[in-house]
Amino acid sequence: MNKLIPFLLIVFIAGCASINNQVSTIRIKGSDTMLQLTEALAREYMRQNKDVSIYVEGGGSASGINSLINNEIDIATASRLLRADEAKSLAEYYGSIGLYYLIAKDALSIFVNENNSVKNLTMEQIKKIFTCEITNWKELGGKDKRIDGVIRNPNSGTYLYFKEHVLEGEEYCDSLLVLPTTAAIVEYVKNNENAIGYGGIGYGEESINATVEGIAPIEQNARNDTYPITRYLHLFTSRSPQGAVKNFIDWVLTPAGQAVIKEAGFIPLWENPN
Amino acid sequence: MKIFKITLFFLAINNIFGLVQTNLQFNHEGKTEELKKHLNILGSDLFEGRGTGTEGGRLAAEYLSEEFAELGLSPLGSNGTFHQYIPMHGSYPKDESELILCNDDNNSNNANSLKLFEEYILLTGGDQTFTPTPLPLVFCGYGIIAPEFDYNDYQSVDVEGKIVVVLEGEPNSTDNNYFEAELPTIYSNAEAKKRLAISRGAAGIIIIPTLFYDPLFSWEQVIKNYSFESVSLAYSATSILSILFNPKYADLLFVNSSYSFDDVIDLHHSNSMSSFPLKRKLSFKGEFLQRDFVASNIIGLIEGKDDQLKDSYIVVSAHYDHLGIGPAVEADSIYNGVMDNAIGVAALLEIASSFNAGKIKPKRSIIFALFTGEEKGLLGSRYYVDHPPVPLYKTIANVNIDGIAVFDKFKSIVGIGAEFSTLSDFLKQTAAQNDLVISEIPNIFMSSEAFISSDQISFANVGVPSILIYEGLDYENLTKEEGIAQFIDYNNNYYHTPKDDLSFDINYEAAIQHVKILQDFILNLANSCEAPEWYENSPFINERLRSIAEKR
Repeated sequence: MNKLIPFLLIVFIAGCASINNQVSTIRIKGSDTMLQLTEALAREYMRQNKDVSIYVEGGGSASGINSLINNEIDIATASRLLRADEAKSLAEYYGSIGLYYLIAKDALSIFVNENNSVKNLTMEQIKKIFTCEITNWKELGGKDKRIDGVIRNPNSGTYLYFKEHVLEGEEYCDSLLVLPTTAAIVEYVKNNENAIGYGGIGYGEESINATVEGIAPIEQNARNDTYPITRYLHLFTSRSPQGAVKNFIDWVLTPAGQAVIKEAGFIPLWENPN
Repeated sequence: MKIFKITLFFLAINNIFGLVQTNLQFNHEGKTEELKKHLNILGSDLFEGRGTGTEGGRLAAEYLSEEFAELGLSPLGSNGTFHQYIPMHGSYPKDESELILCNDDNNSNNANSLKLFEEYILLTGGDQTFTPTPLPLVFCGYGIIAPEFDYNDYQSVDVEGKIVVVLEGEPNSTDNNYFEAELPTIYSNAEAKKRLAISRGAAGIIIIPTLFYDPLFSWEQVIKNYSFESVSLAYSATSILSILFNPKYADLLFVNSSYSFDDVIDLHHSNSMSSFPLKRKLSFKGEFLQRDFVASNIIGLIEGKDDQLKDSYIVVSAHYDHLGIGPAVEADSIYNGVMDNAIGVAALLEIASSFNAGKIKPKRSIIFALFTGEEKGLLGSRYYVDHPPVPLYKTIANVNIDGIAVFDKFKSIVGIGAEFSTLSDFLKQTAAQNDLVISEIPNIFMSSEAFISSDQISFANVGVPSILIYEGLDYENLTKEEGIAQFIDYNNNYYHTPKDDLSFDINYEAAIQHVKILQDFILNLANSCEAPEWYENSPFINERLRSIAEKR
């Protein structure tokens, strides 16, 4: 049965990431959408575990995953799953195809200025706005004003998720304004009457959230998948984690960790089993 | 009863007994009634087939937790309870899911829109299947990379960002040193094929069953097997779009290619498999019902009496989940799973009761673990070994129970996985105590798959020696042929159907005999000064050594 050995190296996730049992520093990098959330998780965990130090960095899902492949961090945060080439790189470097953890759900809100009379959009209309097939609010029952679309940078998992799931793989049009963070998009939409953007519901304010297909981007609608732009948020490790990294991730999945997720404005996956 | 699945795919001394108290005997009076009691409760419609993440599953967990408390076990779950809570994710594809095959010129005139279940089945669900843009298909033989056999289906093709199409199974062989002769190796496993595809950068995998020429194969049976919600742990290895393709429609994948599907089957039979690009592309937009929930393993402890040995542990396990409610068969939609595995749970409760009755105190500690999610991919046991209540390096063995003897009293026993470790010595000792001989599983039952088909493989994968003990085919009142016929009848007519219910004819003398053998085996282990070890050539030994070195 020696035949199993080479196979196991790839097929079963052999645990030896963070081999050093003395590790008390955890490095996390990735999704900007998850940045505030991850910082909140890190802060609460460090409060409860005085011997653990956690560094959190944004930069986008792709950037986090690249750092994971390059062994620069312990955990990548991402609002999307690994691409085929990223999984291949992990397999080549580590003999493992990586592990992902579902930690929360997020609904992508469509932000419109609170003075905009257009408060509801269909998925088809949203797609046409961001591919510039619809360029004037008048076409949607609003004022005769040019639509001022704003999107995330291409390094963002939110950018890619929106492109794949809302634009159905089509390209964004060139005239859209690119901003680096969701917070910047929210700020832009609040200050520009003709603007439209998108971002996680953790960042939005009720006054600028449009409904999609008549469904509001609220927790209940995201949890039961009735809100159409709903996604999972993930943590990634290159291999099966151990020590401090494993303990932190396990904690994120406990009721205590999920409570922090709820507090940060995202949707926890599991209610307290007790 | 996983050992008795006929097909692989559908699925996964000498001196060491010096201090064993061989004079100890369990009292088996009244055991039949106890076994029946547990079976009648767990197998009843009240528990609705004990599906993972269902109300029936939750009720079963509560019942078993109360039974553990009644038996006086110490809780080893979360927050001082018997429940080890496990975050899980479930998904089920909706009919609106859209799979399109088109020619590689993207001409929509020759596109085929395929019907879920009739033409294909999804092996994975959720976001990982999202493939909105048509991707090229590449035929990759069996999808195997096996350097030890100097075999690589990916050697001559580029699959990065493409979808690989592979045949189920592996190269034909009559050579024990080449793909284990006629027995399937782990490379036949669908999950193995998928992970190898991912490691080569593939964006998806389509697997075509080759068993359709087998009289036991039917696509309708495949549909039934995949008619239930797909469930995974909240954490999983990276995955991709994975499709099982109805071979009746496989020609659609090979349109305009250098080989037709019939040609490929000829290559399979002539052992001259080849990989080549196909002239088709595929896109998939899945719609899923998804949910997130918590299910629980039920875990309790009987502490050993020996001051030195009690800090070492034997895990006795059985899965309590079954399929839940599914497609109706003869107006019955509850898959009670009496043989699979209410009876194994009832046996475990009997064993726990015997050990805790007060007369026989084991030297080592015994953990009784009732796992959930076994039917969904060994989820409960995988979570247990990732989150063990006691360190794995102190866990000396796992004795798993998945089905027990119900046809007739027997004269031989089989140790699934015994070939890997010195657990085989304990098996010999137990056999001798019970005037039994040790036999092997006939090849028609795919013995090589038996070890990976239930929760014992989760323990082996983390280095804990494990075993599953079944009766052999030497019966007191049945011939071997009659025994085989009974297993085939079970496999074809009861296994994973609503007919695996309380109407199943159980020979309780055989069941009690099996329970006694398990008790003797566990007692031998628990009282031995020597812990079992992997044999030198076992594929699991290195993980054990790492676990000991790292004290985890």
